Amino acid sequence: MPMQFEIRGLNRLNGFLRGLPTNLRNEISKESESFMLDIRKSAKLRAPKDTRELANSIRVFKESENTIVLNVGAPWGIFQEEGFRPHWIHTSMIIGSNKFSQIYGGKEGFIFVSKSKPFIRPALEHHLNKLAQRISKAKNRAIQGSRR
Amino acid sequence: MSVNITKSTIVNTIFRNFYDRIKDQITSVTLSISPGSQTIQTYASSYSDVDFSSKDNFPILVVNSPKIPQEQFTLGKTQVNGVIDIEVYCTNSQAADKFLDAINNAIETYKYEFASVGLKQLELEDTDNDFVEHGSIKVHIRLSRWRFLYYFNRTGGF
Repeated sequence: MPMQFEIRGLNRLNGFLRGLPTNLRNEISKESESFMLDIRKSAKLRAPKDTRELANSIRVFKESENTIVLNVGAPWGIFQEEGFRPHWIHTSMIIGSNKFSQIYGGKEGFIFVSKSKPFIRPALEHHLNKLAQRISKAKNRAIQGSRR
Repeated sequence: MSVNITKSTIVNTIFRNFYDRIKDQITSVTLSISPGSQTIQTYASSYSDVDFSSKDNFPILVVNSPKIPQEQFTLGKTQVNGVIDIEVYCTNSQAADKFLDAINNAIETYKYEFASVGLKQLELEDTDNDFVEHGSIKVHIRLSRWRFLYYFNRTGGF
């Protein structure tokens, strides 16, 4: 005896499945950008604030659709991050208008620099443990959005 | 107290609503440890305004600019999926926790006022805590991230 089944809601299911990849891509892209901006803020807060130049040089930009780059513009950023040997610097090397130039500007002599202060790695460590949760929330938002 | 939100000044008016509410509700907290109480010294709109040069500058309360990504809701309406971050910077961990509670409570309690100007489905998305050191100054940071919806009439164009 032939049996007939009627499946309802296939159009809605198709609509949901059609919308899901786009929504998922958009939500994860937004969340990734927000995640990187949080790391930038955290790194800026941790960066040595003596001249503010290092903190101000930290920026985030989207290189391609799937790549967001955190860039430290100040050339001495790498030394603060990775560490350096204690050393002397001549006051003539202090340029620009900052705390050091106000104190040492026009004076001849050396300053002893002994301590580095990592700022990117601690910021990453702080935020990475929340990444999975944030991606999961973004995924849920995408699913919610596709249901409409 | 509340500021009406308009399409042309959406970022500014949404910010104003949160800033005014927070400034009005949160001034100080009492502590069970020294110094007994702490009063907000500065209300700012960006963390770059946080000055680490002296302990006297703290606590600082920062109401960040809202992010307002938008999508089409219906033929005539646009939906704004907004997010706003509110942070407090303290030199005392207990004060930071108490300010975070006070921030969340201020928004939670006045949800109906936010709704009356169009900020709907206001929900606490996330909280975060952080700690940074600058010389002798240790700063405890607490973040409260709120998500909201706002709708406005689309301008037709074809």
